[in-house]
Amino acid sequence: MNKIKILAAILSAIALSACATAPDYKDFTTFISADPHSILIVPVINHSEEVEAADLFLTTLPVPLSEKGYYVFPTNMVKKIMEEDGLGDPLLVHSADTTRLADLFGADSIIYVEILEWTNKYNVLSAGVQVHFLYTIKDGHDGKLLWQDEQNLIVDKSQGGSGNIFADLIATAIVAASDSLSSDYTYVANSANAAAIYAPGQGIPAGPYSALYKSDTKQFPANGTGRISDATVLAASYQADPNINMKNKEEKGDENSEETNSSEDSDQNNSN
Amino acid sequence: MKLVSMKCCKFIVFTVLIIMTSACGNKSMYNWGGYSNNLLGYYKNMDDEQLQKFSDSLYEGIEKAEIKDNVPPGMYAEYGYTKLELNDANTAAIYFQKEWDKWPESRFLMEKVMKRLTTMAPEQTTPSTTGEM
Repeated sequence: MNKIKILAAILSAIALSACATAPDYKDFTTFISADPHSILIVPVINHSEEVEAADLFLTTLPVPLSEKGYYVFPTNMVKKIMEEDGLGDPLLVHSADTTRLADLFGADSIIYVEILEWTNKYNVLSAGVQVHFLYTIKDGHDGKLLWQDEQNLIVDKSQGGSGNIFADLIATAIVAASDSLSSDYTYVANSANAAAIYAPGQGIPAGPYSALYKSDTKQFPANGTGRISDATVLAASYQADPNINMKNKEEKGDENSEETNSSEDSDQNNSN
Repeated sequence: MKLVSMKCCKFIVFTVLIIMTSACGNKSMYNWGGYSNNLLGYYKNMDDEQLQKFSDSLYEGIEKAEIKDNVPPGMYAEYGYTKLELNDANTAAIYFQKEWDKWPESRFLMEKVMKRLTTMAPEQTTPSTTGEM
């Protein structure tokens, strides 16, 4: 019997270490109550000098989001439609009103990604890539911030791993699922996406097409802490106040500065 | 006694494996047919030839995925849009309709796009008398 206990202990230790996570879980109260069924991927802002990074990154997003259980709008079709409609510039799209953008496509939510850094690092022992991404999901119906995650990884090309056990495990699975040529850069992007989207307590809850839909509340709890983001930088799409888009449109310098309500349904000016 | 402990042992191994796989679930729901990679190939060189190639790859992916009914979200529409760009509006409409049928979340956008197609259509068809219903 003792042997069995030891075996059980070892195996559960393995099970736990395989999915080791930071103890600081985010608060999913807003996300769960918004209950988005669909996600619109908009063009990626690229702050790095790696010219192809934005398009490359865009191609790695639909698989992990769909596999998480969401309806993901056809990425290339959306990109082309936006370009036709004069919304080809990522910075412009990210700073545009979320609800109006979502209305164009009938989307429940929008994911904005910014590439903050994408740099090749060489040292004596290895060659790696340092990447720094910011992911933001906002509610398409009211523009509220639903979730935000920042990933700062150094991926060692020679060993093919990011050092983040979780990211590596899932990334390998996603690479396999997406049939990728597993080029270095795709691997890097997939690792970061996996760490951002899938990590318990940090990623996003399962969507309606997942078997885990609404049954993963332990991993993605509504713990009421109000901690929706772990970002250390400000996204182009998100300023500290989720209603900032609405407020910005109104001329500043009105008599009262701290009113909160009734600004949403009142302004429907025709911008075209 | 030995038999019991063996069974017990197997049970523990089994449950732990279940926990492991469910916690880090990496089973793929959909058959992507190399979508990410094909899209990247197209973005690296956005000419008509690559568009045709991307379109063909989407078609093959859909055909394969339909066998096990695991066509990913957006795939029908993605293919439809490439056909539209390749000036095959009829095929495009068929696939926009398929997307509409399979994914309720797509309906708003699909209706919008199909409406655009039908307003484009009269220019292509031969002029007919207006009396017909």
